[in-house]
Amino acid sequence: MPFRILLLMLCILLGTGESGLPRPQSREVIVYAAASLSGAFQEIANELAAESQGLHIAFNFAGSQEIVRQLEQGAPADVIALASMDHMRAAVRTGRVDSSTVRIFAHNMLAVIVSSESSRHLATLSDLATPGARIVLAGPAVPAGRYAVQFLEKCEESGKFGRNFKQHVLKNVVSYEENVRAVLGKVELGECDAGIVYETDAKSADSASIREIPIPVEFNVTADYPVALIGDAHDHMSALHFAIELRSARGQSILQRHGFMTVPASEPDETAH
Amino acid sequence: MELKNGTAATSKSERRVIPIALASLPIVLFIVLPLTALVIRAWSPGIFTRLVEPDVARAISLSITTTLLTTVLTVLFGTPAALLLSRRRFPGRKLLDTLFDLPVVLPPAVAGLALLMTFGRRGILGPLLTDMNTEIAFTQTAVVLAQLFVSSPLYIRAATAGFAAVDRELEQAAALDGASPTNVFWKVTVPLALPSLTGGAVMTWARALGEFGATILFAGNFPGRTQTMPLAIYMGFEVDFSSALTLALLLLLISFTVLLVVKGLLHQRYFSP
Repeated sequence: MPFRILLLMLCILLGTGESGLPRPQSREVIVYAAASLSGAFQEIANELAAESQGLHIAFNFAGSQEIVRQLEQGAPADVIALASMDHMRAAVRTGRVDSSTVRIFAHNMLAVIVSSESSRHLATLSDLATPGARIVLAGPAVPAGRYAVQFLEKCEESGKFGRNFKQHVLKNVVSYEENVRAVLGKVELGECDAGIVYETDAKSADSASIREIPIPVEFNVTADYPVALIGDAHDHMSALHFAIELRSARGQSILQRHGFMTVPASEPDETAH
Repeated sequence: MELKNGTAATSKSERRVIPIALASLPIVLFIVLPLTALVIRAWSPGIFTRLVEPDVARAISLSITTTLLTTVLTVLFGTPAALLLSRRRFPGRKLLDTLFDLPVVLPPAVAGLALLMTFGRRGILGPLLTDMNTEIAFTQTAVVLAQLFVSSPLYIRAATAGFAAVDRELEQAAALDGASPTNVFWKVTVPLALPSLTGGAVMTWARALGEFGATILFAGNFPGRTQTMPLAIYMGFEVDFSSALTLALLLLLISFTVLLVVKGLLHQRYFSP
């Protein structure tokens, strides 16, 4: 009996952890990032981990709106990178973001993708309004979804696509997805004829399963990607390290290779109000 | 019921109840507390006026109609299957039995993918469906199919057990008295197995009501057409958290009411003098 009590006390002592034993140097940074950033960020993280001993970057990729909701509910994060300034402003309103650290680090543009297996042979933007075409978009709360609607409005305002173009296209939508990668997935699977995603998604897609319909610059929408630090992050230095890396020459070149547009060094910093 | 030496016996069993009650307390609290928390957070005087909002009303009516249809179809097609599994020995019975357990164990998203690979445009049955000018994915049919796939095994298992538990001698006695097989089934077998059948049907309905993963993959998310309550709640999180809370509470109240009514009817039939 006494031995058992001793064993129990030993376990408690070791379990409390703060027993004075030296810990290995390991710093973890938790990054919540928009789904469209997954490819580029994984690569940036690998580069950083290779050169900084003990730095470990953990990711949570989700729709930006989902990230804002998680922040609201107290999810542990150190850095956030979203796909729109509107969503960053919403994140700041949760009170967890250090608003002085908001910086835009990349831009993206929209792409219209068409499934190679589609029997509808959609070839031009106006074909999106063809009755019966199956189109998939991101939901209205997702940045990509909002940008897509803005794009359709621009097309309609130009007058080059017929009256009620936006309405006709929206009539063809069969599903509003929770993040832009899910849109890509459904078109790649061939279950939908077309979808509106980011340039970066089109670029990362399997070229055998999808084709891209080019969007003239005057109709396209530019997406701004801001990064920010979370106020209650437990390792501010490492979090800052990651955020700075995004705007560094190496980080920017990785982003560019994935299809993002870089931020000129002289671009004025956008700070959320 | 009192024993001759009643006093001693009752106090002994009372003493046994208290530790058992204490041991049950954690799980009782664990189930009750979150439900109570939801009611407290989400309740507002105007909650029932939200029932008439178009998106909410559509989600509710879609959930109710699809789950009812699913339950009816499950009972219709599941009962013969349960009879077969409970009465007949045939090669591969164990395999079939195990296969029926699979949809319950599989992650719903996997179920959704499987359905897409079968009934989708590019699925196994795709060409056949296209020839028949039918599209299943992203329709209400898909909603019902998704619910059927994940929830019907619950009824089949319960019904199989229920039928197996019916005393064959009673059926044989009825047949000897001149009852036709149909009469034996409806007048002897079913009434005896009814608690299991009803319990199984309720579980099917409940599982179908909460179905999300397979639905969003196979049927997509489109308000009014395929956006059931769980989808509306999930997507609603991202637009307006308080709206999601309201929907969640409504779903909770509807489920609770239906379960209460069904259980009440069941008890009335079997336990009232």
